Amino acid sequence: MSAEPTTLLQGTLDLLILKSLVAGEKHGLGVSRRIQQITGGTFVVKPGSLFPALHRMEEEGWISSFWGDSENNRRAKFYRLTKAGQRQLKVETTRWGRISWAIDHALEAS
Amino acid sequence: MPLPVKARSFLRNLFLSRRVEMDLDEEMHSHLEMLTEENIRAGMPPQEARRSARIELGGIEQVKEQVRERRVGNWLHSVFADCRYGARQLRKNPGFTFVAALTLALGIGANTYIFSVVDALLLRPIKFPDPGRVVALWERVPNAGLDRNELAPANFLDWQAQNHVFDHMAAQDWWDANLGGVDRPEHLHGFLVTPDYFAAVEAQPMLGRAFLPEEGTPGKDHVAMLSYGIWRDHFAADPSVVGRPVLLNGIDYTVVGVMGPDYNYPSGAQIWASLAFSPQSGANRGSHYLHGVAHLGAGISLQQAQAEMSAIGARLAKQYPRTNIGRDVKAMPLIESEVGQERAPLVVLLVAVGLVLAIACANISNLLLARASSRQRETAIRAALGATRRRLIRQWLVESMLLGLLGGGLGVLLAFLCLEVQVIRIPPEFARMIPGWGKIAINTPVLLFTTFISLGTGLVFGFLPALRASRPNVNDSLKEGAPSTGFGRRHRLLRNALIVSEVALSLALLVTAGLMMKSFIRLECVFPGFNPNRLLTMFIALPDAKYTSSEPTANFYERLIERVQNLPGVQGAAVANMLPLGGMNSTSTIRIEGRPEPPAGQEPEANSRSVSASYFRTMQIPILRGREFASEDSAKGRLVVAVNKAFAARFWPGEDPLGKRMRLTGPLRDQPWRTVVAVVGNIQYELNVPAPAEMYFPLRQQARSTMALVVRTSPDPRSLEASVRAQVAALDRDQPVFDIMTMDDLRSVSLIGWRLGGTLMTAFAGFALALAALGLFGVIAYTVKERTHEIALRMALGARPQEVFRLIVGQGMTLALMGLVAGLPLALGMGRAVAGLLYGVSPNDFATFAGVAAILAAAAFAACYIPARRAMRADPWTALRNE
Repeated sequence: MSAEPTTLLQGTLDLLILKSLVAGEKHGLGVSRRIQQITGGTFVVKPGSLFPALHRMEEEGWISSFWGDSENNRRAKFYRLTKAGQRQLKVETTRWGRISWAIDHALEAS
Repeated sequence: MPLPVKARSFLRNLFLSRRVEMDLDEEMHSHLEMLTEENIRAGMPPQEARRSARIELGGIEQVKEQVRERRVGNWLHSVFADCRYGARQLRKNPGFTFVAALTLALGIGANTYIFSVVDALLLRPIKFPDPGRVVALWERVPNAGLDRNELAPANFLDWQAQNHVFDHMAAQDWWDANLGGVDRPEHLHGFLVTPDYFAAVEAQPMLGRAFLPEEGTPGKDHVAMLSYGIWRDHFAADPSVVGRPVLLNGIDYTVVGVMGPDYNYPSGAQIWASLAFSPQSGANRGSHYLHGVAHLGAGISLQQAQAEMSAIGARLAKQYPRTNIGRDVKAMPLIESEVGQERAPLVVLLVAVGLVLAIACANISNLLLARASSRQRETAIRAALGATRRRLIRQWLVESMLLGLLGGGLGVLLAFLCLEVQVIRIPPEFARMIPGWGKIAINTPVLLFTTFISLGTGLVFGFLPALRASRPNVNDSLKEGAPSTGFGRRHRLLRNALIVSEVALSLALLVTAGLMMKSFIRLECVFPGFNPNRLLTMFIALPDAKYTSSEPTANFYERLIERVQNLPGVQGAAVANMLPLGGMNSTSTIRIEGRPEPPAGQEPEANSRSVSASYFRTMQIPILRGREFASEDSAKGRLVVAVNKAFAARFWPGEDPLGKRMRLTGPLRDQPWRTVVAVVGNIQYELNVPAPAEMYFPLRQQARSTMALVVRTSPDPRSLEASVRAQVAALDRDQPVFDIMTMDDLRSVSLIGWRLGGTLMTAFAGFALALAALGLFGVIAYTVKERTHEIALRMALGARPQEVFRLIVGQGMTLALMGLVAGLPLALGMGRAVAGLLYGVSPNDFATFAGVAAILAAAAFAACYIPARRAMRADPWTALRNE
């Protein structure tokens, strides 16, 4: 598999993770399932992409982590959105909006 | 703020890596458990649930590795890990590590050594704060082929007054300074400089002050600047010496300052005094003896300065056609002007050690390629555990660079040893004159260079093996019992290509070494025209203040010769103002009686020498026609001259020169006619240049204050040094002697460039040859091992051992031959590049090429011989039973 996803995909993944955390803190599996749910099953994020992204975003300061208990009382690592993460979500959303508009526009042109 | 968060993560990853790892591990396991639970809730049986969870996760170790790859500072972390791993690999294979590190140590050591010399002599021979602004000025006479002629005082003064491009311009002249008022008189190598000199070379005294403008006028010019060495050795480093008088050439000078220990221009200068022009000398445009230095004004480029100076030169040529016609001005960076003849041989040596290192790299590449195939399994395991290709390549490169650093460290040690034992040895009297010689050392710039090439070589020789090794076939390599050798055809081609280029480079180096060595041997055999054995030489500079005219000067030297001749063990003694093989010369323009006067600026020139009557006898220069100088050739007698064979052949071809007349001409006035009384044999002033036309004047008719004393001795000349010195002291107890050398010393110094070039090149080329042979041996031995099965089969089918031998040797010799063919144009190119350094041998000398090719072929044969013998002894049954 390719070591570097394209920037578009990476940006998309960041955006989806940030979005999935808006509703509240989640562990890795929770994030993964939430993305699956909000995209109507279009995106299934594999652990091999999810965890590197989560750790990277934590290092960027967009999300923070803590250990807690899962819904089934299992110890799990939870992630939550930080202030910087909320700002980043706005930036990513705007950016995505631009890209999406541009692509639509391009496809509509005859 | 993102930066502190990131920085904190970086530090945490670096220093709390264990905790970070445990955290990650726990997160993965908890994720796996949750997935499993999810599956069970969806109705799967536990076993199935676990399996499915594992598949979805995709391997805990791989995911962890992917997370690690993305971490901040991961590169640093994993480089540490790679270093540890690499060091372990090197320790695990001490044999390989030893051979590779030793090869590199020799290669890098040679580079470090030569670079330390290049750095001191070529890159920073003289220390100036802003070397680009300090300019040397010369007169240029294109018609006479003079690119750098010394300056005449009147020209210098006009340049100084008329230019607007330099903010300081100064002139300097050699100055023999006899230091008096001390126990034992000492000769100092001094310079007379105009007041602006220290400003022009951007130098400030450590103590006291530089010369003042008014000190450039006659009567006020008895001021001196001490060098650091003289201040330390003769004035006990006493700061109060500034302002005190010092006796130089019998005159009191006032010390105005002391230069710092780092100031070393002009090279070997021990003392400076002010140079003042009298109205008479300041008007002289005919005697060229000054060196010009200048400092570029702010915002002025060298090109602008050159343009203005050329314009001034053209103006002066128009104004004073008799002396200045055809005279241009040349401005060049002072450093470039100072670094002269050492450049070409040093550049050749630098290229040579570079090539040696390239061969060493090829050799180690080859060793590593062989190792890459035996380490296939290990690489495959790493790849299976999630190491990316990039990571694998980096691991190999880190290992190679570690090896490079190891070799570099040993190499620095080796270079240091070479400097300590003085592999290049030059008598101090001459070393002093080479700018930067005393500064050769393993210093910071040299160490930086070595670190750089150590890492660089690591990258170079590790690159190909890393590319090959990082593409393992995981399935095949991990199969039980898979053979651990062989990457196939492309791999073999690569190794063969490396060997061919090694042989080609070796050929080029050997040919260059051969040509240079041959030149040196040819020069050693050149007969100098006199008998150089058992001659002691030394210089004496009589001060003008004490020896005010020709007569007392000549008297001193004649009495000295007489006293020395009477010493036991002395066969003869004489004086001359120039010594053969001494690297100095003086020439004069002349006219031959009865010939039409040549146009101004195109008078013929000849070497001029003043000698005592005993000179030809003492030196054993044959007198071919006529007589020795005699007592009748006195100041009052008829003016006479002796000419050498070359002079006679040039100016009186086919005629008898005896009784013919010639005279010295000057731009201002001509000297009277002189009659030829002798024709003597040619002697070599430089061994590599045919003897030019030369004329000798008797001491009494052309006395000079600075003369060389030559003494022919029966015992070792050095043993008479003290007693000859005593004779000088007996005549004048304040008179020092200097530059005491035997003629053998002078001869070997005059050949030092060729000797060093030849021997160092030979050493480097020999090393290259050994490396190429070793490389070939390695490849052939490897092939034999690889082909054991095939050879055994051949033998089982009836091939005779000789045929096997021929097969193996043939393979090796084919490679060697390809190398020779590939190296031929390279060798021809190198030969052409060093043509200027050769003597008596053409750059494509057939004998050298043939000899070198034969040596290489013999070495290649020897390298194939052992593996071929081993192949011959292959036992078909053992080999086949292993199947």
